[in-house]
Formats: sequence, structure tokens, C-alpha cells
Amino acid sequence: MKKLMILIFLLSGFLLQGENFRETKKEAWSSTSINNAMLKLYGTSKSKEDARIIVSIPKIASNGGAVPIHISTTISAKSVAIFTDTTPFSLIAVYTVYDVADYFTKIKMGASGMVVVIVEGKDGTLYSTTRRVEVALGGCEGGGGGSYYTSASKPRYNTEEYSFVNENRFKEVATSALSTFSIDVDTASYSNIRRYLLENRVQPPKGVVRVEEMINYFTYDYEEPTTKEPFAVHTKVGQSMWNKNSKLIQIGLQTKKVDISELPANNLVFLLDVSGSMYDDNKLPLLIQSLKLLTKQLREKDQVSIVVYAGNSGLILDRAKGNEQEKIVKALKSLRAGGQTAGADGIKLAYDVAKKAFIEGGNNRIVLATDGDFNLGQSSESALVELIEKERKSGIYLTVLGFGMGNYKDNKMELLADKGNGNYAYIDNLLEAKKVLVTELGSTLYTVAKDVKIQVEFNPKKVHSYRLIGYENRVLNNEDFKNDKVDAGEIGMGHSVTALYEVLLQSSKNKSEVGSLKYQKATLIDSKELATVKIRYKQPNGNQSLLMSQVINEEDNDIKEDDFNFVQTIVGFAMLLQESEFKKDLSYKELIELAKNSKGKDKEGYRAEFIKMMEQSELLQQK
Amino acid sequence: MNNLKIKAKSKNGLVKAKVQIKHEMMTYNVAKRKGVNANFITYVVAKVGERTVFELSSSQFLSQNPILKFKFLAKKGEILTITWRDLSGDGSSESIKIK
Repeated sequence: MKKLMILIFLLSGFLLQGENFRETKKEAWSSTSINNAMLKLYGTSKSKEDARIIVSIPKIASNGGAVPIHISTTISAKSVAIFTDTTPFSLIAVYTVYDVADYFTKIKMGASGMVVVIVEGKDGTLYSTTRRVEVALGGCEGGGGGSYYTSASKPRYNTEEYSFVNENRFKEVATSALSTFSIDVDTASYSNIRRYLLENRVQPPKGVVRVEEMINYFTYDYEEPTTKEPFAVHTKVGQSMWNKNSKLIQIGLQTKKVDISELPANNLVFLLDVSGSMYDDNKLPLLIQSLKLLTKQLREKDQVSIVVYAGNSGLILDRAKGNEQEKIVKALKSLRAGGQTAGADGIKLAYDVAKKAFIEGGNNRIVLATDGDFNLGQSSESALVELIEKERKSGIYLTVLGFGMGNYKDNKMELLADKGNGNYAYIDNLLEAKKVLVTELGSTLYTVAKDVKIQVEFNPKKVHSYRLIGYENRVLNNEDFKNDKVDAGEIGMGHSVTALYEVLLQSSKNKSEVGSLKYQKATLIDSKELATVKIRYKQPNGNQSLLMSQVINEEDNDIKEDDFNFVQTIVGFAMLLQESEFKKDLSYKELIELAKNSKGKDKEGYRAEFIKMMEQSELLQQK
Repeated sequence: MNNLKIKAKSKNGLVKAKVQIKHEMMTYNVAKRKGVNANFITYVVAKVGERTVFELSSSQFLSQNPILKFKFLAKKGEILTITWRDLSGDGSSESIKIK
């Protein structure tokens, strides 16, 4: 009997012709989306979710370079394949199944995102299982503890076809009239996308596209506040370019621009990563040049200390005065890259130095510059977040400047800045350094309001449904709006923040009908207002939040036409990059044309560069 | 060759195999930054005699020095041969006796 079985196996071995999918399905390996890769590999991207596929993969992976994955299935299968939307190309590996479908390996992930396992049955049916992996700083690997992401950012699963976008969906006003989120002034996503498109000449992985960071990269012609409130609120309602039935509500916050010389004294501690991984031209040398630009603007009352970390961390400059340019530059010039990174010790030392040099009423801030390549153990990673959270309360802020990094440290950096009540910018060239550290130094270094939360209440009589564009990771529970213990984003001097809603009005066509409620009847107030926007914020040193509110009407036109249109093109571009389901028939051609027409003065050339990025992306798409 | 480590153990006819291939798995992005050519393992096949028991087509996105664990049916004493190749056409082959 045994001999017979072996004979059968031998025979089946001969009968099953092996397949090298790299040769038979070449195009699948250069597809930049899971859907496309599936189309090229199987001829279809339709699959059925199936519980017989057992996938074990950590929920939080500290190292995106080697994420362990174990797959097994009892389905009678031809092949098993692994896909992810976090790498430039989506197909990772294909196994041809022989005796037993049971495989383990380690894969690379470029960012937090999806891993999809497809089992191709012998009958040709595709079965699937999807997992989301956070590639970020995490206290515990493989679940058990909490994730840093709210339920609002969890992926949506569509059984018809795969769609791997975490976008916010339309919500009906009748059942949820409130939308609450924290502001976000980070811009790193934009410069990262630019690096992918203009330097590496590949489409960015979807995981790096955060539309709110793209929008907030640009400055808009918003009026400054005239009252003593920290910002002015501007609104505009207009037609959306991608859906003739929907309107867009743009909400812009603008803080006061103040001359640097009038600002309070700085106590800056530069915490610089000089480890071996910083050796490249676009890292340490660029960092040194960038900081030279920054120090040129400092005044006598400012203080600068420099802490480095690599192997051993150390204080190389203790409290130089802002006008002691030579001393600072000399210290900067002495930096050499080499050694292993010991990030945690460096951060601890930097906080100690900042505390010693603390200026009451001043701007006490650590400026961390790194490629994010921390070599930390699991326990020290969570300890690090704890430390940063603790120090935040003592009034020391944290600004994170990212340099020339591989993308998968992006999340870690954003998280650190987030926990430290700070901001995070990605510097890929000297021009960007000038933008962040000279032109916008005020907004990079001076917080004018913290824990800024926005809550919009829509009027069900006028608005049928709404969709918050971007801010997926910043969505808050409605009750968190009034809870001062819940942390939210900071806004710097001269900064503007823009948020956008896509809305379907009650008067618009093609809106899906809400199932009417059986147990309650809504009494609608007769009001022509579309919505009310409420903003809560704290003063930089305050603990109690203050409230502002403003009504949004259909005819609001507080924002310049060019700015409104340009923001639309950014949203449109992000939707194309993410292959959003809301993009309808939007094309690069329309976007580029509208962007060109709404470029405005564009003194620094940033908008022109954005148009170049869209053109590059269009070319890559056609390839 | 010392770039290939193989372990295979049979229990009641089911073999658990663990293979590690020493390979830098250089992605296109990293290669471009370093000014070298991208290179990574593209194909791994395992055979017992003439019978294929495992076959993998892979991309640049397996980790460095990839580890592959898999299961198949074979007896103690049979010969397992692992063969791999990479983008540059390099590769190696090695056989062990299943324990």
C-alpha cells in the first residue's frame, strides 16, 4: 500500500509541470496595485474571502524589513500567492502547491498596510484572506496590546472586488450628524511622494499617501485673524470637479504671522543622529547645511545645545547663545557619521539638557533629526513613547525632521512627533530645508495652539451625506471633542490648516435613500445653514480648552477661487494614487489643466512642482 | 556551498523542511541609491528525486537571507535537493538526506 502511494506521488510529480511565474506571468511582478497584479497573474481580480486560509502575521511589526508570515490551507489548491499594497510592486511571492500547502517566510513591507493571501483552487476559484499590519513603533508584537490606530482607520473590506483604501466613507447626516477629528499640520507625506515620483521615478506605495498632509504642504491666501483668537476660520462651498452631484466644503484655519524677532526666546536642543546609516549625501551633510540655515536666524536670547547619538550619545555643545554663530557652526562641522544608533539614550539625554536649560515662557523644544533607524528593543520602544508623553507635560516640545530615509521609518517618526506635541517634516533637499527652517520657521518651531480639534455638525435638512477627505488617522470619537484629556494636533505660528468635506445635498440627485427610522421621527429645524463648525483648542501653556464656532452656508465664498480649485487637484491626485472609489472618471488631464489654471502667483514654485509630479505620475501610469 | 542551509525531518511520512539562503535581496530602490544592480532570488525549487515538492517564484520583497519553511510527503533517508536562482542568473543547488 505504502509503495503504491509513493508511486502515485512519483507519477503526480511527473504530471505536474512546474511553473516559474516570473517567466510565465512577467507583468504581474511589475504591477503597482494588488488588483492589477491579480489581473495579470490570474486574469481576474475577483476573489472570495475564505476562512479555510490560515494566515498568521503580526498586527504590529517593528521591522518592516522582515515581517514573518505563515500560511496554510486545507483548500485543494494550485497555487498560493502573497500580495501587499505597501511596496512599489504588489506581488511578493507565488508558491506552486504540491503535497501540502503550508508555508512560512519573511517579507518586506514599505509601510503600514494590507497583506493579501490568495489561494487559487484546483477548480480555478480564487480564495482570499486579508490582514492589516501596522509597521510602526509598537509595544507588543503580534497583538495582545492596543494598536495606535483608532477604529476609524481600520480597513474596509469589499467582497465584490478588492479595494485597499482606508478612505473615510460617506456618512448619512440623518444617522450621524457629527464629524470630529484632530487637525494635522504634518507635511512629510507630500515630500515623500515627491521623492518617489521625481527622484526614484516610481509610483509611491498607497501607504504613503495622506491627502491632508499633501493639502497642508501648501500655503493658501487665507486672511489672518483680526481678533485675539489664535486663528481665523474661512469657509467655501463649491462644486466638486469629480462628481457633478457633490459639493465640496473647504474649511481653512489661519494663524497669525508674526515676525521672528518678536518671538519668545528659544531653548533649542538639536538631537542629531550621526549613526552609520546617516552617511549618505542626502542625510548628514544635508542635515548640517539645514541647521546652518536655521541658526542664522537665531538671536542673542536664544540658546542652542547639540546632542548626538551613535553608539554612545553625548552632549557636544552646551547652551551656546543664538548669536554665537561660529561656535554652533564649528560644532556642526565636527559631526561625522559612524556607529550604531542608540536612539533612546540620545532622547533621554536631550530631554535632560532641555530641562536644565528650560526658559520659562520661552519655546523649549527638541529638534530631532534622523533617518528614523533606531536600534531599539521592544521594551525600550514603548518606554520611549512613554518618556516623550511624560516630557510633553513639562512643556518641552518635539520637532522631528526626517532625512533621506527609506520609507518604512515614516510611521515611527510621525508617531514620535505626535506623542511629543510636535510636528514632523521630511527634508529631501536643501530647498525643502529652506522651506521648513527659514520660510516657515515660525510654524515649525512655535506652537500657537495645541490639541486643536474640529467638530462639524451638519444640518440634515440641507445635507444628505458627507465624507471627510483625509485625516483617516485623526478621526476622533464625537465625545472626545469636549474631553480635554484627549490629545490632538498642534498648530504653529503662521500655519494654515485645511480640511475638506465632500457632501451630497438633499437637493442633489443620485443620493442613496436612507432607510427611515422606525422608532423616532426627526423634527428638523427650519434652517438654511449647511453646517456649523466648532473648534476646540488650548493655549500653548493652557490645560483647558477654549471653543470657537462658525456657521457654514451654501453661499460661503471666503476662500479664493484659485486656492479652492488647487486644493481640489491635490485631492484628485491623491485619489488617483490611492485608486479611490470616489474618483469617478477623473483623469490626469483634467487635474493638470485645472492645476495650471489655479496656480496663482506661486512665488516659490511649489505648485509648479506639484504639476510636474502629476505629469510624472501620468507617464508612469501609461508605462 | 555555504550560502544554503537545509534541514528536513520526516515524521510519519510528513517532512518539515527549513531552508535559509544567504542573499542580500537587493531591491531596485536600494540598488539605485547605492549605484549597484538590483539582485534578488527569483525562483526556488525543491525535489525529492525527480518529484517536485516545493516551488516558489519570488520578488525583491522577501527579507534578506530569506527563510523558507514548508511541508511535503517523503520518507526518512530520501534525498531532498534544493535549487535556487537569482535575477543575475546566479544560484546554487544542494542535496541532503531527509532525517
